[in-house]
Amino acid sequence: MSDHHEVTDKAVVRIQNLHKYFGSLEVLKGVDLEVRRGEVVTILGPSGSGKSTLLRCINLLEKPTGGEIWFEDTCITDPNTNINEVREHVGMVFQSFNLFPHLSAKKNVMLAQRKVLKRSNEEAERIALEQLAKVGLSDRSEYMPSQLSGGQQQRVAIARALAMDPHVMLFDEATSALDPELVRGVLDVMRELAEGGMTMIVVTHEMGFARDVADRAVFMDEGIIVEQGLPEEVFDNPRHARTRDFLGHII
Amino acid sequence: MSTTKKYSTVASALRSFVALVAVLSLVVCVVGPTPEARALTVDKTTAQPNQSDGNQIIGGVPTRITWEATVGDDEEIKEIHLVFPAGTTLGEGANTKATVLDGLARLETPQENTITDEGTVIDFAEPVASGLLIRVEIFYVALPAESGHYTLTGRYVDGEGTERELEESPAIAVISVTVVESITQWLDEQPWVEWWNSQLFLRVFFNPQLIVASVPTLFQGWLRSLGLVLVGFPLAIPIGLAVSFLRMARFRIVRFFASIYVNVIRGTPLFLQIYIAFFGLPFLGVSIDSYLLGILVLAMNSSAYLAEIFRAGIQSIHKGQFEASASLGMNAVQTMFSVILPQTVRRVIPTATSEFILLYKDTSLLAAVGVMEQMMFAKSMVASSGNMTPYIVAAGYYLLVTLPLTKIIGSFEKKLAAAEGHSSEPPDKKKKRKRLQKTEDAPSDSFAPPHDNFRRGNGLMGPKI
Amino acid sequence: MSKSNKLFSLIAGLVLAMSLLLTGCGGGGGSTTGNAAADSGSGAAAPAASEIRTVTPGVLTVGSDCDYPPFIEMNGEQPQGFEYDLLSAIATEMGYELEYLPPQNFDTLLASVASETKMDVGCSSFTITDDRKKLIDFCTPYFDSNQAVVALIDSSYTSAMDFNGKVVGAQSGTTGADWVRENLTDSGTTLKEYNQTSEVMAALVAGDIEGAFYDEPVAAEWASTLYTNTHIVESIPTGEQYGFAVSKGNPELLEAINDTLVIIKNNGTFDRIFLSYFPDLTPPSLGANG
Repeated sequence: MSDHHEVTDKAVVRIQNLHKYFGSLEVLKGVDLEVRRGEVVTILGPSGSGKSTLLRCINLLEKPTGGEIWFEDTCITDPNTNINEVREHVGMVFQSFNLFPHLSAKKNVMLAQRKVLKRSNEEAERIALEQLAKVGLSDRSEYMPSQLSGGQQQRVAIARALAMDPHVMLFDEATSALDPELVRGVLDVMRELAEGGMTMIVVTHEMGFARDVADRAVFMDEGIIVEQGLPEEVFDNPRHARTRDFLGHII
Repeated sequence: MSTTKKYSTVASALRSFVALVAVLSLVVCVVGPTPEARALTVDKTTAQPNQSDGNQIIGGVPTRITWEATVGDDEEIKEIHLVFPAGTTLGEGANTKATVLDGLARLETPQENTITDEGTVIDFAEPVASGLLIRVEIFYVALPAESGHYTLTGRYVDGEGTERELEESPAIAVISVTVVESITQWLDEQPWVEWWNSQLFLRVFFNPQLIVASVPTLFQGWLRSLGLVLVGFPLAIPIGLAVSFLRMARFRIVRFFASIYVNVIRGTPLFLQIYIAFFGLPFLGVSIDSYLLGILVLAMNSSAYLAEIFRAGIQSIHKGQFEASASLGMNAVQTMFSVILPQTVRRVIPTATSEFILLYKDTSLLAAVGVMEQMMFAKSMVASSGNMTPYIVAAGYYLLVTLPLTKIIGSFEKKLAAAEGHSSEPPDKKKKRKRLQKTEDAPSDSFAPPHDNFRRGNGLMGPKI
Repeated sequence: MSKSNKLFSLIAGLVLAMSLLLTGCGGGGGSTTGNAAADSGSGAAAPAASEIRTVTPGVLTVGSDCDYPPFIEMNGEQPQGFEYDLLSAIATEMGYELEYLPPQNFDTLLASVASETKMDVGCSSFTITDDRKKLIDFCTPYFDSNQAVVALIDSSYTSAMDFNGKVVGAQSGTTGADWVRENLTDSGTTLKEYNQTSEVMAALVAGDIEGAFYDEPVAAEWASTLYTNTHIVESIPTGEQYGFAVSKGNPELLEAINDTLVIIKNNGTFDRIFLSYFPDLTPPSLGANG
């Protein structure tokens, strides 16, 4: 259950009154969210609700139109902030894996360590093999991405993000592109990660994961947070009609 | 014409100078024993280069000898007997023709000439008057087969019927028969060659003798053309890459100038660019070696095409690659050089190789401005032979490069398709993956149409203005 | 003649030429015109148009590089010059229409004449040489010419041999190019060949070459008109002669042109045209008295 790891009071990510427009379309209509160290937050909602956009704003893959986002003590929406320094500490896992197809699994995990963290080749390799072992892919370290299954690719992607020692991990529908039989392996890795105390913000359609692993469930619709709370509260006693409606469709 | 007049004034001045010299020598003559005064001064002796793969005179192969002499003051020339060096032979149709010139004016000079392998006799119907230039051309005569320096000797008969020795002519340098020439001569004697060459089409396009002669000559041209493209193309790559970056730059003004560069170069013929560079630059006082200038023009032209190839290649890389790099904290330069370009290179290799082939073929355009390359070598052989065979051989040399490259492109494209089609997976999985890819926003297996991610506001290159 | 008409006759001519080639039939047996004109001179009748085979029947098609004033040059789309006027007079006398092809490449012009598919006469100030005679026949020479070397006025060259070992230019396939190859034998000599003599001059003015070798009358013309910053360094007496090139397979045409040359020489047309271009020179005899 959710209380086997420690959730501190210190906020890792703090979002205030976040607005985002795509052209004239307002996708985020003033979102406030705070994620504390060690906390696992799942964001739920129908497609088009703005949950992915919210996630992608946290490391500025999308540039917010208004509002503020803080990462620890840094205001990342401040134009003077070097976003690359922030991104070093914010791991992200994508729906479509986005491995570097020209590099082996190991080299995928090593690249940013070498380039961004300036780790030595030996250290980067050691960490890469460690992380690959953690996601159960020790025997695949020399494989090219095209030789790996989708699930394996996603696990390499997780290892790649973890190798940077992130303070928070963002999962953007990490299992949506996978065949059903491959979803489990990825979810297991995520579960272990959560149990290890990683701060995680997870956009997902996996209700089982949300219910079992998360400390908090956030339900979004039409660019706002409709309701949030302990997973069992949100799932079992949704206060809002829209939440009920959504859960009714999905479960 | 005015120059003719000018010449004749010069000529008359010259004549009075010669007269003065004659008077002086007469004075000397009275004083002591001196060599005979020349009534006929040999000015020059040359032979037409007859080497099909060079500019030398080959012994044993017919050439045209030109011998020039000026008639001395107060002298007339009735006959000239020219003696060939021992070992000289006559080719088919050997004959002698003497042209007599007064300055630049050609005089009708009836003459009766005979030729044997020992020498030629020019018998003028009317004696040639003093001061005139006698230009003797001996056609289809083969100097001795051994290499060496050969001269013409002989004697002449003056107006009074006196015979005198001719001074020895300047020497003609002759080389011995080359391999090419001996093969050509062997071919000349083959019956099948004779039959072959009696067919108009075969003779004009596939003349065996000319094929033999063209192959070594055009080889030099081939090397030069290859040199042009092997230096020019690698030069075009960094320029093209830089321009492609500028084409995707954050600032509109930079993009604007880069697109002007690309569109002007791609929108005008290379031929025109070559003419502008070769005939225009010197007006600005810029003087560059023509081979180097050729390379520069080719590189500049190709860079514009490569810029577009690179740009399309970069933009065909899936947006996710930029996002993944960004999410790992990599900056734009690191992303470009460690993630995007390595993938782009593989994708653009087929198109860039096609561009290489195009550029290689386009080196031929430089023939028009006097750059020595394949076309130029072929052209001058065609001009001297009046036969198209050297062009056919040149075509063969071009194909020697382009055909294998075309094949390599083909196999590379196949390999690339296989690599991006996840070849190592079992076929049933492959099918599923394809289905999945379609449901997401198509991962990176499509080159065209290029996405416009690089410039889009994803924080990679900073906010778009 | 309208454009479509021209096109039609061109196609018709091609078809005719093809069928002639296919049947292997020449233009009729033996010489029908004879050489009466050559010995008497005055009384020769114009050869009948029907007896002579041309690429397009009734039309004398001429190929030239059209870049050699005062002999031939383009005035817009219209060729002009001594050779054009001369051929116009010949064609008129023969009862043919004269048609000039667009400017041709000099170095392949003779091969083109020999193939008999495109043009009847090659006329581009061709010097008559034995080598060229192997490929085609030449009509009676109509002009005596020489070579010249041209350089920029401010250069220090004084004779043709000064260019030994230098970078020089000539039009590809010309006797000028041949002269350079035969006489400037220093290994340092580089001969750059160009398609057109005007390109040789452009290269000279551009400083790409040190000297340009081509025919003296053209050099004199250009030095006084178009390229006034150039001058003739030395005129090289070669005594060469220009002739019209005709296919070896068409002796009837050769003879007809030679006869016509005699006719227009005798009726004064030739001399009138000649002297209008070269008032200081003596017109050649054209074999009219021989």
